[in-house]
Amino acid sequence: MSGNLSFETTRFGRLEMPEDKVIRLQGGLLGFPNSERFALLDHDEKSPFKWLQSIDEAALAVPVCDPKMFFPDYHIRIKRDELATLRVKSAAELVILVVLSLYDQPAEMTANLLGPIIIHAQRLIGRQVVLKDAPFSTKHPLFPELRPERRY
Amino acid sequence: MLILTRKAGEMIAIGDDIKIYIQEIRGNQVKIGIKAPPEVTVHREEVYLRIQEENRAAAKSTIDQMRVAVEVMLNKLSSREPK
Repeated sequence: MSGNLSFETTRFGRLEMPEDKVIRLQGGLLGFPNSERFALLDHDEKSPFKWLQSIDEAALAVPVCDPKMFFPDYHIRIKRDELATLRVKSAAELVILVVLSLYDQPAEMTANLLGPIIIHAQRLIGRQVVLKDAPFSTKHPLFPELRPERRY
Repeated sequence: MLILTRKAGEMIAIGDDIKIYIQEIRGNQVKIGIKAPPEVTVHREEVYLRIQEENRAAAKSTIDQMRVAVEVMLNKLSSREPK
């Protein structure tokens, strides 16, 4: 039996969750090395987007989603030794999330396809990886149909 | 910062398990091989900085912006469904 964890967040107030749902990101999100423990929060139950909320840093939360929802062709190649620290044996054990940057105008919202977060679905240990030689951008438009002036 | 001079084909060792190999020097480009344990991540600095910068932008996202994003997305999904 594991207990409940209670933590403060800037956006959502005080939250409580079972300790065994905590996601550990090795090295944290790049640029935020002091936060390794995260909670995946539903925006609401219908939402395709979730918040990845830091447990260690109240103000740190980023929107994330399953990249396949927007980019059906998205697939990543990660070197075996990069996966070794997660003790992943096959890709089927992995959950992949991409980080979203939201703005007031939906046309400006983007997904970072170059720096996905990979998580071992059972062990809940993951890391943000930087894809090498991948044809992806850190600012891929989420809603390209709203930017008629540009073609993607 | 420690500055070392190396020729092509020579190595630098950092600690016990990191090796840097100067593979080739041509004009103003150097081809470098890096051998490091899996827990040490190695990136081209500019790519690494771009991801950091994007994470910082993502962390500024607000609940209101999320609400709008979800609404636009759900509309998009429902318009995709076969009639």
